[in-house]
Amino acid sequence: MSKLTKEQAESFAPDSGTLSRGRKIAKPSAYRDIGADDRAIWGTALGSSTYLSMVDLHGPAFKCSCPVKKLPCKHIMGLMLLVADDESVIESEQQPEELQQWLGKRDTAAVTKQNRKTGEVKDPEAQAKRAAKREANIDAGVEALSLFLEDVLTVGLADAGKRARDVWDNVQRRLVDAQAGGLANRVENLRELVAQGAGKTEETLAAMAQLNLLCRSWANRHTLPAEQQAHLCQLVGWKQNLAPIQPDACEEWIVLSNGRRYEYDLYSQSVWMLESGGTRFARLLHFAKASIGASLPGGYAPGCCLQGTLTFHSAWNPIRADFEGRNLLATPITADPEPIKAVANTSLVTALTNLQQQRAAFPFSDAWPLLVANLRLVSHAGQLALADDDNTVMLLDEEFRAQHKLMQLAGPRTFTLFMTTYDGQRLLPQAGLFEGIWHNLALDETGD
Amino acid sequence: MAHLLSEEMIRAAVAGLGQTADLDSLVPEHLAQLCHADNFRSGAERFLQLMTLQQLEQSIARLPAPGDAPAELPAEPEPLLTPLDQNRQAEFARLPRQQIGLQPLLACFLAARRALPDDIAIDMLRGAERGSHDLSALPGSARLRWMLSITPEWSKQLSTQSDAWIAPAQRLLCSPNDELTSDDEQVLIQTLCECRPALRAWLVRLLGRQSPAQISRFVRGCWDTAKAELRALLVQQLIGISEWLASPQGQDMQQWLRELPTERATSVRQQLALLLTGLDARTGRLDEESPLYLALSECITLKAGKAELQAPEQLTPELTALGVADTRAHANSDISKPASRLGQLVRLGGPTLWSRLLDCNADKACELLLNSRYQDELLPFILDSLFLHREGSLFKQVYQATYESDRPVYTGIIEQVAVQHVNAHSDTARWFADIMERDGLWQAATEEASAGALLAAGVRLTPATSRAWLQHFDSASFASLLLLDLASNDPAFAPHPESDDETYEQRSHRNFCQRIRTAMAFREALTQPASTMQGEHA
Repeated sequence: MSKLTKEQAESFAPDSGTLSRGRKIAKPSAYRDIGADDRAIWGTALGSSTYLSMVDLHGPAFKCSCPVKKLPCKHIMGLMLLVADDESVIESEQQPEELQQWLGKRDTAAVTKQNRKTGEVKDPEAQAKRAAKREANIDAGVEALSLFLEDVLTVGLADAGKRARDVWDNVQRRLVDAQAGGLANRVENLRELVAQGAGKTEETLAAMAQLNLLCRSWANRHTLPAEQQAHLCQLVGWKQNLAPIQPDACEEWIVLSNGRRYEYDLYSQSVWMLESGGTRFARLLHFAKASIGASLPGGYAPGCCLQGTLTFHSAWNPIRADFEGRNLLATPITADPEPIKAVANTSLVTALTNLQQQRAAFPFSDAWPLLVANLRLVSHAGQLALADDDNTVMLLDEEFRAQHKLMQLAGPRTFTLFMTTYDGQRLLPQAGLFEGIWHNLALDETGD
Repeated sequence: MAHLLSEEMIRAAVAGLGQTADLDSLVPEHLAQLCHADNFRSGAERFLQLMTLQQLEQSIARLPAPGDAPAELPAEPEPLLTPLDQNRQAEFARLPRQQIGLQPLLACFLAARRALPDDIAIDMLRGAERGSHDLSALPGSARLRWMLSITPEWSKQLSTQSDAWIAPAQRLLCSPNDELTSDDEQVLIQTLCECRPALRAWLVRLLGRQSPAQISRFVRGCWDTAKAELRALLVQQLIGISEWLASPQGQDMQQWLRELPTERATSVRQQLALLLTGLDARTGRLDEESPLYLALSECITLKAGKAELQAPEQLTPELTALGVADTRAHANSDISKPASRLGQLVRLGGPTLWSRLLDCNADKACELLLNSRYQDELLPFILDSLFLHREGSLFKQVYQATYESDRPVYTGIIEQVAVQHVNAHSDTARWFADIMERDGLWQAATEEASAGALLAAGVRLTPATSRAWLQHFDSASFASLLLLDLASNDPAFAPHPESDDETYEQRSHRNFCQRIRTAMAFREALTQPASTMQGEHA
């Protein structure tokens, strides 16, 4: 039988509006044929028409016959809330045929995905041919990009900013044709920085330096160890079927923060986790395309302890990871905040010294985590800033949107803060321990 | 923040390499040697490489330097209003705030002397509800006041562009019996003169909870600096303490009022006339020689058992001296100027003078006026008069006449007049609530505005009245539901079980019961003791 709790059900809501509408119909009279077992929850919603709403708890995944594409829709939310609230509404454990078919398809897809993960190759010779062709394509793309960067510097950023969009589009198209989508995305970011003019000059040059470094690394990739080559391929935009990386030994992780955003029809979720009792961080990135009704995985509540298998994407830079939770749908276990505080750095300088060493070893990451205790809010040049016990002051990142929440939670007292930084200069608070309670500060823009 | 790249290098990158003669001069020597020109196909390629190396080198080596003591933020001010505990705050976050409305929400928090949860207040300060900045700051917690003190853009949104008034206003709310310090008094006087009407109304309401002597002292203190609008509000407060002014303790203040120079503002002059006439009536000074009696006797006579009314055709100096003016007294009513003059005289006279002029008791006199040829025009003035002279015994009679009147302009006139008077003084609110309870005039408190005004005045119906109230209505505004005193689990509004074949009425009733339960749970949450008095974030 389903062990879904109300809080978990609510955490799957794509936006507050759907949650509110779901709450309104979370009553027995709004559904019939409600059923649930260990795998799924289902029921027929009685709206302007009747809709079969289904939840696959292994995932979780959602399906409803209503026309709404944003899943879970209100019918599914209502159904989950109803079942979570009162199990007595469940009438049967016999899955309807439509549900069985859907679950069957999902199982087949999961097996296929697993095979792909384990690196099972059907035709090694053909694959090697394809890989060689792609490598040659990327070589050509990287060469074109290097020339473009040199060209931008020859004419100067001031003139490059005035260039027609076509010039930038052409480079991006070329990179896409060369199957180097990762580089194309970075060029788009560079174009946006150049367009912002004088205020972003240093950031623009830093982005150009990063791109150049990536191009140079690609050109010299054969001198790098296999794991670094593999990661380089990922950065360029080439997802390879690599030999599987062993799951991490640690099977208990604390969710530190959960940032969600909705942009260009895409939901994304960035979850930062901390090894329970350790000092290692892991970052999960989830994406879901809104127009096809995909939804982000729920259950990653900040301050909770999750058990499961975590696999880092790269041994070179063990930050990005995938996580298969065992208790995502069980009653959340609130993590004891004291151990988090215990592993935090006590000064900003110590934290950044460690972090800069990691940056030197792996200069391509766009977010570096740091956990610092005994911070306080101060004013620096008219802006809100963070200071530690040594009176070291660091400014908050311009991207930080929860300043008021931070002020509200922190007040004039000291606190422990989990932050990320892109360049080691500005800090982006993600979550923090305020008066013994862990609070999320990460961006939550899911289109509400 | 220092640049990662040298100034010259940045300048070269912005202007273009074509204008840069010597790349070696732009970078440290060790980098120039590392990237020898012969190893690169072009200067641009070499520059890109040099820039990348320097950027990485500097970026990775840079650490924040411990500096001088940073500019510390101010300490958190002392908490004045009791905050809700964490659990209650979470419950409040789930409430249908838009449904409740800002004014009722605020009224409940202020009546309970509770700090508004920070999430709600911050939302309002960030502009979630237009024009609500002052009102969200008024019941702000210590943390919110601290945030306001370090967030200049928020303080600028307040109508006085300063948050200095919040603490004095909260002290006034928490300890209405304590003397205001001269500093607090000065801040409040200045705020009253400068702030927007919504805040001014609340501050005056808070002042009205003080003792009559304190109110009088405050009025005298700010009279000379106050604008007409504020002076009119202050006189309304004095009308609320007429009984005290008429007593020996209030003689000094009464004398001061009578010696005030002639007021230029019509609204203040009218209010002063109402106040002084009321005082005359209480002290028996309205004899047959008094100007008001003489003026009224020219307009009202008894002929053949009926009231014969003659409206003044001219606004004479005598009438002006009595506070009569040719201004529109009731916004929606289309009353001619003579009728309005007559109405103002009737309002000033009150039931005591009506009965003397018509030679009958107050009930009969009121009935005669309501049956006269000016019956419709006089109705709002008679209503006004009942509030001013506290003649509750006639209220039901006037109430019925209003509802029986076939003039559409009188729809809601009772609510309008009641709101005006209830807002003016909290004693009037209690008096009006008593009349409603006694005479069962429930309709008057179902409207959003009148119920909101009663709520703001701190009125709450008794449990017995609340139950009786429920018998009469199956829908009402959230503000009026908040006036009720019932338990959220009271079986009186236990909903019927939901069924597939329920009628529209049954569904409406169930929704209504749900609204009452929400309202009562809201009140209970406010009145239950908080788990922590200080440090609301503990």
